[in-house]
Amino acid sequence: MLLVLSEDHKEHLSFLPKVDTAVVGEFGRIALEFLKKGTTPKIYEGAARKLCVPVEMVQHGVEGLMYLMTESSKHMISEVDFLDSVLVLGFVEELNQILLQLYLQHQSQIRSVLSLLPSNLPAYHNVEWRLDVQLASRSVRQQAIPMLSLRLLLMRGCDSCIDHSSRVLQTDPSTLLHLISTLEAALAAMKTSHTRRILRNIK
Amino acid sequence: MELSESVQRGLQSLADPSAFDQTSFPALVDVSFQSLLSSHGDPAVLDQPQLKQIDQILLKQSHAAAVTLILEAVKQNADKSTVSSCLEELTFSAERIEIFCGTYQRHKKELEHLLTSIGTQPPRVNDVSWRLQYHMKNGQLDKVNEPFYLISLNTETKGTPEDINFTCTVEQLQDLVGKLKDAAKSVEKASQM
Amino acid sequence: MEEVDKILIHTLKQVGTEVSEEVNSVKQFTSELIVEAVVRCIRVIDPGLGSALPTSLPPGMSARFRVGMSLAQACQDIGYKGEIGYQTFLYSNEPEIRSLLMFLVERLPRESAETSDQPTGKSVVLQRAIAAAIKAQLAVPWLPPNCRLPLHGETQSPGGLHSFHVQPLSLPHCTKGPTKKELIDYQRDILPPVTAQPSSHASVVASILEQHTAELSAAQEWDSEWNSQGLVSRLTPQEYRSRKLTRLRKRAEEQLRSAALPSAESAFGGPRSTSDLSELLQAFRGSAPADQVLTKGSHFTHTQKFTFTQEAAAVTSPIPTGRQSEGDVQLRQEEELASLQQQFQQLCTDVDQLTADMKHMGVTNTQVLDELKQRELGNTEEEERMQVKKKTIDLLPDADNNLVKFQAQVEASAKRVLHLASQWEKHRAPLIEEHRTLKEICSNQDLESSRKLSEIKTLHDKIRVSTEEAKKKEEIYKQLVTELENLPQDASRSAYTQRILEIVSNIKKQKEEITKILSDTKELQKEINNLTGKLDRTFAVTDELVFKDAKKDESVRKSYKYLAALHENCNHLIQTIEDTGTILREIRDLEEQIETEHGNKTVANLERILDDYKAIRQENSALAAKVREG
Repeated sequence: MLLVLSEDHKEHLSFLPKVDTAVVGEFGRIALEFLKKGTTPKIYEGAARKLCVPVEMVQHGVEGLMYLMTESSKHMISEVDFLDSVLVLGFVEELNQILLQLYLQHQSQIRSVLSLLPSNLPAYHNVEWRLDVQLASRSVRQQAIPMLSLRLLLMRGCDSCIDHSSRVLQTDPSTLLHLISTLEAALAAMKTSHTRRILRNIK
Repeated sequence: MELSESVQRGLQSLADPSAFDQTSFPALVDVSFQSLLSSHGDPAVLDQPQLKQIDQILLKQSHAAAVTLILEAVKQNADKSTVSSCLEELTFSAERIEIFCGTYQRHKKELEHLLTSIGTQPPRVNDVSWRLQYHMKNGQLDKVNEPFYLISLNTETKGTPEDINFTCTVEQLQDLVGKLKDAAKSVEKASQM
Repeated sequence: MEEVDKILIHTLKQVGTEVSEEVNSVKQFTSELIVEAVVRCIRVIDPGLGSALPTSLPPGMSARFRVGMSLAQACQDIGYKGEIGYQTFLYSNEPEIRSLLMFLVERLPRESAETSDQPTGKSVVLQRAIAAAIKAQLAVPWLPPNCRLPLHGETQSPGGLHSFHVQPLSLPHCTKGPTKKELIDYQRDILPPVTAQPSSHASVVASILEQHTAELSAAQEWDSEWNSQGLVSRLTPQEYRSRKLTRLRKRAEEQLRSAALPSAESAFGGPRSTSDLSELLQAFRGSAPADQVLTKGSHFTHTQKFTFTQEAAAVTSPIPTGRQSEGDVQLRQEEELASLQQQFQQLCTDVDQLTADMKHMGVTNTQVLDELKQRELGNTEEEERMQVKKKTIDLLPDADNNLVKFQAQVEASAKRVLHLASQWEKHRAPLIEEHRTLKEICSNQDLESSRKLSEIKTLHDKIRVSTEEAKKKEEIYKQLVTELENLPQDASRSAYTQRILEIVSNIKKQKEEITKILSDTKELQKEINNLTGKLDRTFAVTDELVFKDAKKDESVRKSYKYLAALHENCNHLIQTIEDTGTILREIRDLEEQIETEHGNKTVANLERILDDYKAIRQENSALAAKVREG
């Protein structure tokens, strides 16, 4: 699979061959930092001053590089495909190799950052439990109702804005046994041949 | 079992054979239990043919007293002997005590259930449903290819159902099940004290 | 032995051995049963040791042998000192098994005894109840929420279906004094029964319970207050209540006055607001809510009137005199406003001054009035004095005569005074006496009443203490009853004691018999000794006599010989009898031995050993064949 780069993108990236290869590596590092922590215009300004070029040019270069990396990581394209895709830019071989190294080094990291983006459902984080026995209430003075109190910690959102929400729930022992058996059935479903076949075949 | 003065007065008139005769006493006892156990408060609950000839104020007072006694007894988890000794102090005849206690024994479980249903609690988990899904790709990422579970806990608060949905990976589900099993084990241990 | 076996079997059953009903002595125990019983006992005594042992004998002979060996080893590990080996289990004999089982049963931990000895307090009962509840819940199968019936929902249905929501209830109190006819009519015809009063049926229970609790706590509070303060005040409850009511009202009034006064004065100033407040207070005293509302309204109208009149004054005065430019008009208006404000302030200060003046005047007025009164008083005094002087002047011309008359009069009056004084004394003495006695009675009564009061107080305290004690004891009784119910229904204890008592009495009887027999034998022995002594003596005497005569007479010599022979034969006879006795005893011993040997089932065991031996040989040969085949 090849990446199709737009004209604007190509133009933004055309800044790269004009600078030193070490600078390109530095740009790659900055781009990855930005993916994790967000952009800061100060760095652009500093780099532009050093290179004696306009700030926009540096910014476009870095952002173009960032986009190239995320797109290729998103599709998880192979080395050959990556090189073929970059070929359109008409860079020298050395620069292409540097880009490839950047891609290979940071592919997994970029994917993990990206994987946090789409989670719109809360995800399981932890569960705490406690065995309670209700011994009396305002309307009944002698009782013994065993109850299992659960605190379900859920996690939602992306890396920078994880919000933990907790729900306090209760359940009785027989329902607890039922829950365990149902969820064990769910785990067992992972090991059925049907599921395994699908896991094997869809890659 | 402590009873307030007005309740004692109402019960004493209930014990009085000149106020409540052989037919109206069991009728009022039945009505008192029924009015507590029926699902809606019927204003015409005292319009029974056996209770027609009794003074309405006296009737209402005795009804209120009987209802209070029943609820207090269930609240304190009083057994038959406690109730009957309490009635004895209020000059009930042995026959009437027998009638009252018999009805009380018959309905005690239901009443206990009624009283237990009063109170506040966190949502209760009643059931759980799950779905095993295979995450292939999304807007940001291709070739994710991970199985994950969608768990939905069916909970209930004061009769209104609510679903708690969340996702978890296989490892997380194993963690969850492990913790629940831990809990079940400790519950079992607690049952063998 | 029967008793011992029964106890043994009972304990073995408790440990978990399945002993069938027909088996009621150790004699009937099969090898399987013995192995199971022993293993179960060992498991209870030492779980670590017992868990490795099987409860049933395996089919293979060599395996059986091994099980027997390991069992024997385990028994020795526990501390069994008797002779034990695989043969004890496989080829059992009754006494050995009995002694082994008795040893094991004695070693059993006395769990039940210990738990019943424990201080079974409330917490233990509670813990047991909790454990039982959890067990019951674990045993209940899970049902989908839709299928749960309300009745068997005790465990699974949600507890918090309704919150504890209380609504006020209206109860008819028909015996409480004379009430209005309308109220009675309402209660009779319209008031719904308590269970129909709350708007939602869910709050019926909560409302009734709360109403009752409120009544109870009110009664309790009244009780404690009456006991602590009411009794000392020596009033009837009604009086005490009414007095407390008025006291509280007064307090509230004062509070209200002190809180309302400064703010009212600062807002409106002066006497008008106080009159409003007094109205309010009047209403408060009357305690009719309608009036209160009315006075509040009047208060409001007052303020309204005040502000409106002011505004009206402000509006009416600045009437423009002619049409001029708007700026001028504005300017003029401002000027006018300023001047009016000034005027208003002036007026205000004037009013203030005037009120101050008025106050001052009022004060002076009262002062003047006081002075006037004093002067008038002085006047009347002076007039009286003047009249006395006038009379003396009138009497002056006939001075001597008048003097004598006066003296007589004075003397008469003095006499009269004396007379009156004596009369007074006469009257006074009994009155004073009476007063004194009454005072004494009064103080006595006071003393008595205070003593009675303190008595009443102590009685109250005692009553409270004893009711508390009674309650406590009742609770303890109930707890004990529940504990008793919860205890395992084990009749064996009483059966044991009864049996033990029976055995003891049996033993006593036997002992008595033994002592009797012993004394009999002793007596017999004594008699025998006596008799032999007598015999010896008589023999010696006869021997001597006959011997003396024998020298002289032939026939006597013959008889002497006979005598000697008789003596000898008799001795022989006795010897033989004794011998038969010992032989009989020996025979009995031997018979007993035979019996015990029979009990050991030697023949049967030997046969079984033979069979087992054959089985082992067969197994061995089969194994050898297998080995050869393999």
